[in-house]
Amino acid sequence: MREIKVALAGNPNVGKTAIFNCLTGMKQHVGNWPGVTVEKKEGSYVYNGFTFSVTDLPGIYSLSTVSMDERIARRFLAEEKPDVVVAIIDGMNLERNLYLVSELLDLGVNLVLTVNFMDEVEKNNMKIDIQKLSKSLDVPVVGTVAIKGHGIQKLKDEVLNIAQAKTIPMIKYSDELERYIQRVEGILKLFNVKSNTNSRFLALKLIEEDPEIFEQIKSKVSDAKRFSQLLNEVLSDIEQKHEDSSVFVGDEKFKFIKKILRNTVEGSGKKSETFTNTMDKIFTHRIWGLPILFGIMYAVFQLTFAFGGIFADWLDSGMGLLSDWIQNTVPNATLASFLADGVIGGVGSVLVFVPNIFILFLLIAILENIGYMARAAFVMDKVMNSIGLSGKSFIPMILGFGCNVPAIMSTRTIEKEDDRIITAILNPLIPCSARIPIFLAFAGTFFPSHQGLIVFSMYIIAITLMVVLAKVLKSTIFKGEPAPFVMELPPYRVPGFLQVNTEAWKRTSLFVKKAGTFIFAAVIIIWLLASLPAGVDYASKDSYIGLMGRAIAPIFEFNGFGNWQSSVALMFGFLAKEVVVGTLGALAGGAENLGNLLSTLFTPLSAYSFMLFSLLYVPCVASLGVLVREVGMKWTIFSVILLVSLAYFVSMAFYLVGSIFV
Amino acid sequence: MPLSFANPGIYKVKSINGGRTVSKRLTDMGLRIGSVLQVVSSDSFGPIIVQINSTRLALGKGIARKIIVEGAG
Repeated sequence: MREIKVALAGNPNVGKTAIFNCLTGMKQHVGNWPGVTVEKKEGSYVYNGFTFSVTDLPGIYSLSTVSMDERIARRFLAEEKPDVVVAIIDGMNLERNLYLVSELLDLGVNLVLTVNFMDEVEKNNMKIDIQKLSKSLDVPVVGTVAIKGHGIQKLKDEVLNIAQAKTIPMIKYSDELERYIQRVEGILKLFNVKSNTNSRFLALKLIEEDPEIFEQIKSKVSDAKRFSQLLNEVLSDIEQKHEDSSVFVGDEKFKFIKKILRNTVEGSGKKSETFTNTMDKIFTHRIWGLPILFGIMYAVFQLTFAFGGIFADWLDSGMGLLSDWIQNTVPNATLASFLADGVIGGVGSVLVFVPNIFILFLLIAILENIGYMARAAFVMDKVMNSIGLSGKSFIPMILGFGCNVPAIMSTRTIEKEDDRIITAILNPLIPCSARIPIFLAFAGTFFPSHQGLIVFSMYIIAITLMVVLAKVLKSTIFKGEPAPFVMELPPYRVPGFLQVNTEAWKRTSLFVKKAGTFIFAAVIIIWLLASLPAGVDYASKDSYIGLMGRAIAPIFEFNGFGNWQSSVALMFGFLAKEVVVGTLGALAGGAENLGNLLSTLFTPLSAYSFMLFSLLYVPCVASLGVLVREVGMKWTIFSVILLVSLAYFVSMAFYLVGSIFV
Repeated sequence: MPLSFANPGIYKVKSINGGRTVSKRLTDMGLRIGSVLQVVSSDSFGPIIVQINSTRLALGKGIARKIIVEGAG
């Protein structure tokens, strides 16, 4: 049986991913802010004997594209030709959402319309006549409440039906616009333009003067000059009667939409607006907005470290007991050493921080789902402007506290290329959750009474350096105004308990999985290198790993940690930051011995210097991989050199200056 | 007057200056010439919030300066 290709399209934040999860049974990341999905995601389901492959596209406002995530969506729709497009629209905001639907109809796709958030529509005493809407658009329409799974069965039925349909509905605009469309289609025919996108859509986009489509067609025609000339004749005819051709097309579309809405919708969504209004009076307050934001960030920090620390301590003692038990019960000494030193020492010293990391991800998920992310961007816009960026660059910063990889990807929503690159290449400076084990292991050993303050200083230093570097880059290599800041503020929603928990568990289990696979493998290698050649004491300076470490160690003499153990830890830390602690844990021979090892290797001064180095250098291979994909090799290399030298010189300067005082 | 100077209240969009990408983006989001919008929060030095039908938009001051509005009750 043939596979049916289904694409999900819609404005940002209308619940596309929630519907995707309902259809495919997957658990993709859902949030309440525009731009959660920045790349297409794929899944599939079987229904009535057919296999449906589903693609969840980034949210778009129209098919003329400004930012990178939108280009991905348009190219997919226009060029990959899915069999069915499910357009998902927000029932609370039909007018604007239907604008995209009109463009999809111009594109000539097999469309099923899904009106989501029907529960909110009802709560606000609004009525949407689904049947009338369907009739006037000539498209099947389904009402859904995606988060509860309502209406999904019906949606599957309609998708199946429409996949077998032959005729594709089309919007008829005013005679005037239709005449211009015909003229441009005539020009396309004259130049024999072959495209797998339909000519009506191309004609409309050419009338709107869409730069990407224009360049695309121009490169295909034999006589580009003549083509532009003929097209310009049409455009100047339009502009004699209308101020601007793209405004003219937009007006036509909204006229069409208004006509449809007049007899399908009753009531307005005033009730939820009042709630959002009240909340916004607090969160986006001109004076209190920023202090509230910092308060929220500080609360996140405190809960992650202080509250999470309680559980981490329990786990830590548990690991100690486990390791003792292994030492006492496993008869084979080598095996016991491998399990207790290598596995518990390496993997265990990372895993004890799972509670901290879970709490952090849980809090980020709550912020995302409540609708606060866009407000944070709004409140920070003025501050970000002073370093030459827009408020949008702030969202990747918050996400970076969880993990730099999705944070770097989220820069795709930034409309200006320069700003996107700066935001992406500096993101690794934001201390991700994988750095928590380093901070806590060191701060706990050397600064037990000021642990919170020391860890907090790491965050402050990283953010300060990032701000300074952004400012420097923006005034040297990337000169120019900040990207224009336009962002939709979604309504506040109470996050589902289950939903945010699932989200946080998913991210945390990734961390655990990484510990079980990646870090486990690294630890085996470290344990082997520390045990060989045969006969050496475990993790002594004459073991292979000791020899390796001693070769590198002199570089870090002036940073205060010229011991071979830290060199090895930093070297393996290139793979992922957790490995730094994993390595030291394995070398110490158990999580509970880590503190003792650290106190023999470091003084408080050199410990802080080591924390600084770990804070600032490259986060992990995965983040480099994603940087290469998002900004290219050149900027990735630039970023790596920048980060490594920053780490090296900042920690060295700190140590040298500090040595004078201590 | 430019939207950046508007106090909270109801306004009608008269024109949108500035680049094609900016005005197109605003049109796509529902802010067009002739739209009636409500300024929810104003700040002549920072971003502002406007409401158009059910859409709530945050606009940076750079963009707000380019949107010309007139009072509409």
